[in-house]
Amino acid sequence: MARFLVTRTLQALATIFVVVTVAFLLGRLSGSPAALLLTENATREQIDELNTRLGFDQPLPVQYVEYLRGILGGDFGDSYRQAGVSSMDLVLERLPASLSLGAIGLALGLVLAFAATITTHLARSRTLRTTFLGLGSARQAIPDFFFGLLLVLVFSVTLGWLPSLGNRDPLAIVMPALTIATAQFVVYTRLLDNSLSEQGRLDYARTAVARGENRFRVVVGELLPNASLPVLTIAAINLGSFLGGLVIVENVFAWPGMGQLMLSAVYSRDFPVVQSGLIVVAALFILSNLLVDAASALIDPRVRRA
Amino acid sequence: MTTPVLLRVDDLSVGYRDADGAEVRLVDGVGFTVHEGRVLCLVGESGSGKSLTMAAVLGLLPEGLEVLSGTVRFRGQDLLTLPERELRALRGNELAMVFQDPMTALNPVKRVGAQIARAVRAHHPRTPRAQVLARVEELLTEVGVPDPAERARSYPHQWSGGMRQRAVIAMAMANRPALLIADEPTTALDVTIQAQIMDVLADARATSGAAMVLITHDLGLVAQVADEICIMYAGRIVERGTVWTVFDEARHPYTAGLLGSLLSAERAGSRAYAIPGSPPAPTRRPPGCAFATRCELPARSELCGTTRPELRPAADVTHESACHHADRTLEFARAVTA
Amino acid sequence: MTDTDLVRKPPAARVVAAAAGLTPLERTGVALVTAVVLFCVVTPFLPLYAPYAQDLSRAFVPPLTDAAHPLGTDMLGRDLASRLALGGLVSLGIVLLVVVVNAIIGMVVGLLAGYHGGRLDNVLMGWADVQLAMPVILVLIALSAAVGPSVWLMVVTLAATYWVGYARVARGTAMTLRDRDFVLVPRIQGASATWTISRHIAPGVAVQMLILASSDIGAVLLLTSSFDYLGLGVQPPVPSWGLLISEGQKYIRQAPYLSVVPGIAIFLVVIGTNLISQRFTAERDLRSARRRK
Repeated sequence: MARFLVTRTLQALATIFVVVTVAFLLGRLSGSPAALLLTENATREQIDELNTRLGFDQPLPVQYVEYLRGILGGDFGDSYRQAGVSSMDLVLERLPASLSLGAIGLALGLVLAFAATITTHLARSRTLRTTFLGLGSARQAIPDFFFGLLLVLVFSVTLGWLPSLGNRDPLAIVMPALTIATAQFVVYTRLLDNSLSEQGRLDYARTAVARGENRFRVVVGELLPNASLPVLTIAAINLGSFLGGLVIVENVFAWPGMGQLMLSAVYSRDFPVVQSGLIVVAALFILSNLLVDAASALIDPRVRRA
Repeated sequence: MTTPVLLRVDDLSVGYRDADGAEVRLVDGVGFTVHEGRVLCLVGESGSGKSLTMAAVLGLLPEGLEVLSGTVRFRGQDLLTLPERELRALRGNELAMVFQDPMTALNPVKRVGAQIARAVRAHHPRTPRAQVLARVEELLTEVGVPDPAERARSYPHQWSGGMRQRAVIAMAMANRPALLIADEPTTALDVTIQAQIMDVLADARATSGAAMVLITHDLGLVAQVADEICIMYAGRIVERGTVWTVFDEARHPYTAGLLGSLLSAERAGSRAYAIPGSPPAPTRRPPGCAFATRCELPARSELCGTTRPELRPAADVTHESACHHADRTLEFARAVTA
Repeated sequence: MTDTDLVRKPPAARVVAAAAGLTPLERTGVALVTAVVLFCVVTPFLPLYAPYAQDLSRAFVPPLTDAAHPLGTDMLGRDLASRLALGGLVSLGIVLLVVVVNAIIGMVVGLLAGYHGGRLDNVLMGWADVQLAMPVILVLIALSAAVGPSVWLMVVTLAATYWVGYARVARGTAMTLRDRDFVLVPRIQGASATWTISRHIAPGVAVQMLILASSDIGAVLLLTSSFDYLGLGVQPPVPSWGLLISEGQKYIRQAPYLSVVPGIAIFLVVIGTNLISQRFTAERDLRSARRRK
């Protein structure tokens, strides 16, 4: 166990190091921000002064060491656009909004998928399965940003039930969360459905029926714990595309999360903010993978011992 | 025989309908009776329909297969027409089953004790926790699991195959069933463990007085435990009788062949008899006797290829055979077992 | 139909055989995609075609009310049908470009890795694993922040990152084909690797790449449209379906059709290609599910 933790931590640190380095190289690729930050009629002296202040006059390796030293000391660089404001602070300020939307959206998607699949299997209904999978596939053929717009069109513009932008109103989370949840729905429904059918053919399922368990106990009590394991694994693998989807949804609904911040930083060429965002996303990615591993171990005793 | 009838199966057919709606029968018109406290063995090669027959009795047919005809009376009640709820009340209670492969018969993510406890709880949901735990320990002790309190808290992957099969038997015996169905309970185990498991089954039956249907292809096992025996071939029963009449006077060439391959194999030096060929697929069974193409009975005739033999009394009413030439099999049987 | 059947039959016979074997769902898919593509290709030859001509006096004309603008006009009075067709050509062109480049890169990498095996295989497939964990959108955001967003940046980013799936399949096939007799014999007789690969292994792999590419069209269209929508892809004034939706979003209250019409176009193409490739993706899912165990 200790060995496992050590390798895992080392892996995590290596990943973060790679992201930090790539971010540095990309930042230098864009060249000095002087042209962006100063007015067109800035003097040579002004430009030089800015470059010296940002360290752009040093050779690349020196800049890199300085940059790493800064990060170790918790300095991720100031925003180009908001002078004196740490880019990391800007990102962390947006983190709760992203986390709450992502968590609620994902949870809702999983709840919907589990509910649909369990119902299908309890009822042993082919029609239900086809309906759920068909609806889910149709939803997947609609880009997230357009599905979000359709929701706005129906629930905000036409019905006037829900606010379409921001996160001031507690109800504002409904549509972005639904957009995320419905996008995830078919992925998990299909997986869980396959997985449940597979488990249902195994001997232990027959043992449970033979000892007199009812259908609900067999499906939910016996098959489901085993069937959720692959779903968890895939959830971890899909995390990347899930985070990508989050960026899009935040922008559709003007949800003030990290994705929206990073994108507006792209438009304003505020590289330090994008860089801090990437580092935070990488950290989140690693953390979520650890959580999934922990959850698998919790369900499956065989994983625990390994 | 004076012991009352516990289970009576009549004309049971199991199968599916193919794309054209035609019936494909994997089990075809099978019938037998099990008396209280007695042991019936269903014997046959894999694919002969013996496991499917008993799966149908318990309503455990795999998806896609259905009962096409017949009745299954347990204490006079037809299990095939029983509502699911009432059938469930019998399963694991009066009717219990032990499966072939103990490595897969237990849920890998649940503690063994908890799974046995479920067998108690499924039928006595309001039993206090302490009482269930005590019962689980008692059951594990009965099937010879050492240190039961401790082991009940571990997971299946921490148990050996033989121990897992004991746990499965403990689960089956949890509610003192009247009928235990054991589907090749020792096939997946090491030879050294097989005898132990048969002992455990015998002990469990001795304490509970349960009748047993043992599904097996191992005639050696049959000789040890069976009272009566049904030989199945290609979905049908081809010979039925008490174990010693069948063993001593095989009235079907298939039975004779099975005995031949067993007995001559045990005798060093002699050439083991082997039945030539393999059984026909359920979709292309011949119009006559399904065994005709493999039959080496000298007395076999044209009739075998054209008319299907029905099961009828051969020597006396308790010994039946589905062979047109049941009266001419003894010599053949003696020849192949010699 | 096995892969080798597909290779050996003449092309015309292949098309006929494929069409005859289509399920109703697959035929629906073909019909949907054909309809949308025909619209995009034919519209530029019609007299009404004017994707850039502005006429502020005729802004926000709703669809189906004016014969000169069958799908209406946008906030600048530009003809939506023209912009939809041009946007479609742009969007679908980008998708095709991305998919083809990916298939070629993936095929070359996969063939080399699978045929030669060993260290080359380890390096290439190790890199593939790394790429799989990186969300393309974050890579594109990082690059766009560094050098400024553009359509070429998007295409290059996708081309550089999305080939992994193709490489895996090509590698698998190359590995199995490598040891079959019809490949083994020339190899033993001293044929060069290039000759053996291009002559004997590549044709079998190419068919698979084609299948994979066809099932990727929907996914890539969704991806590129999202990037266009976010401003990381096609830049105005050139229209694309994603951009049209994003432009229309500002007028969702007075002119919802500006977003809805291009949205439907994307939906039709994605659902159409998904229906066509359903059979292959189902098989692939099954296989990868089995591999995972």
